[in-house]
Amino acid sequence: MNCDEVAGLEENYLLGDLKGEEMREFERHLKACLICAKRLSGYQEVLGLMFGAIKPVAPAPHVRNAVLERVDDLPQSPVVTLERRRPSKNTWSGWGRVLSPVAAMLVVGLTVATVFLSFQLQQVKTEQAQMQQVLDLTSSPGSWIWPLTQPDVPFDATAPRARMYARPDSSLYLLTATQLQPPPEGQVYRAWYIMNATVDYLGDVQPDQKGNAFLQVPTTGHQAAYITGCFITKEKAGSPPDQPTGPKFLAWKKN
Amino acid sequence: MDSISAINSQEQQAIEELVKRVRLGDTQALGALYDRYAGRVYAFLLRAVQRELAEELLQDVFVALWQKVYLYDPQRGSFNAWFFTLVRHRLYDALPKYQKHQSEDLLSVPGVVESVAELAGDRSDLEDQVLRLFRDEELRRAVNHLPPDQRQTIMMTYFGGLSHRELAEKLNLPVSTIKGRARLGLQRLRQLLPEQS
Ligand SMILES: [Zn+2]
Repeated sequence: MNCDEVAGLEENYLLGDLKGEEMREFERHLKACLICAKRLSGYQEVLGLMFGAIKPVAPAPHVRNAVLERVDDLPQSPVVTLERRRPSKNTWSGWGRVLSPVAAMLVVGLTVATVFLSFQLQQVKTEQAQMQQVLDLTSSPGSWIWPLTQPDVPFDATAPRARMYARPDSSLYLLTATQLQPPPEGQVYRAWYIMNATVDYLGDVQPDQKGNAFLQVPTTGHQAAYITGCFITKEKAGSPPDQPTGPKFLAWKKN
Repeated sequence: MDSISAINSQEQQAIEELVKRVRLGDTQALGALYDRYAGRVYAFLLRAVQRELAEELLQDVFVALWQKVYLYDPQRGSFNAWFFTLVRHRLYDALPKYQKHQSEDLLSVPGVVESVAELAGDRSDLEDQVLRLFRDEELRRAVNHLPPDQRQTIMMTYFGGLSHRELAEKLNLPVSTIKGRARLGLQRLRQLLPEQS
């Protein structure tokens, strides 16, 4: 969804009658585009002010009890940490001595793969069903895992890298990144995917202090099989996520 | 004393504090937020639907608040603005189901009856309606300053439970005209209303 499409739907969003994929795309755009987000939040503030000035009408007391009863054992958005310890330097050198160089490379590869899995699912915006999908996606053998690496850079265990998880039947795409430096001042990492020869915006990738990032994108089309590539660029923060402008920082391409 | 610009920062701070606690799973804090907001949410819902559904939706709104509060980002706007968006989304999610179950015409919905009276050209009815919904003098004045078509659109859609399409059909106008009026109305109100800190 681009800025024009968002502007055309903003009254519907404000009213509350945007649904499904349209709603998700709308909100995804808002997350990334400061211009649209600012304009919309101005309207929301006006409505919020009006809301604040509504004369209250007291509801029956049983409603309050019902609310508190319902939330009592209702989980809130899960804040889950999936973390594995990074092997210490000593372990590396110890193994290096006993293993042949090829085997050592294999271990390095496997360890990097393990580090991939070490990300924090902070504030995952989902109820439990979606959470289950996340776990399915990352753990099921039927998932596709597409590695995004720095183009034209030889393998380096400490280089930033990312993975995209998808499945033909999943209603979710996941992108994890690790060893990512904070983006340069005023820039963001932005993820894109290629489908039917067109580039679409996936979401912004925000590394935490440890350089790990996690991006979860709902989808309804079950079209993951048609994805032929995905990549991350650095873009101006707050710019509309219409098209990538920067060079590919991390990329994967279907063979 | 009734001025909306006087929503003091202390109250805002108290609300932010409660929101933080709700995020951590504190049901007492949710109860406290309920005590602050339920009356307004209920009054708003009653304009669009009948009492039984309003009570049901009121519950849903606060359960949704509990589940979605982590999405609220204070950097991006006030809690009032965020929460009222959630309330509207909840209402418009429920409206189609509700209307299917209703044999009566939309006009039987309480908020709409008065709005439709206004359509017949009785301006004072709308003004009454605005006066009845809002307690704040400053806000009532601002709303009354809007051109009638914009005021009508805002009252009947954002505060009356009609979709743009429904209002367009009632007025025999294109949906785009209604959406344009809604946008202009909000822009105008933004100028008329005091800035929120
Ligand atoms: Zn935009």
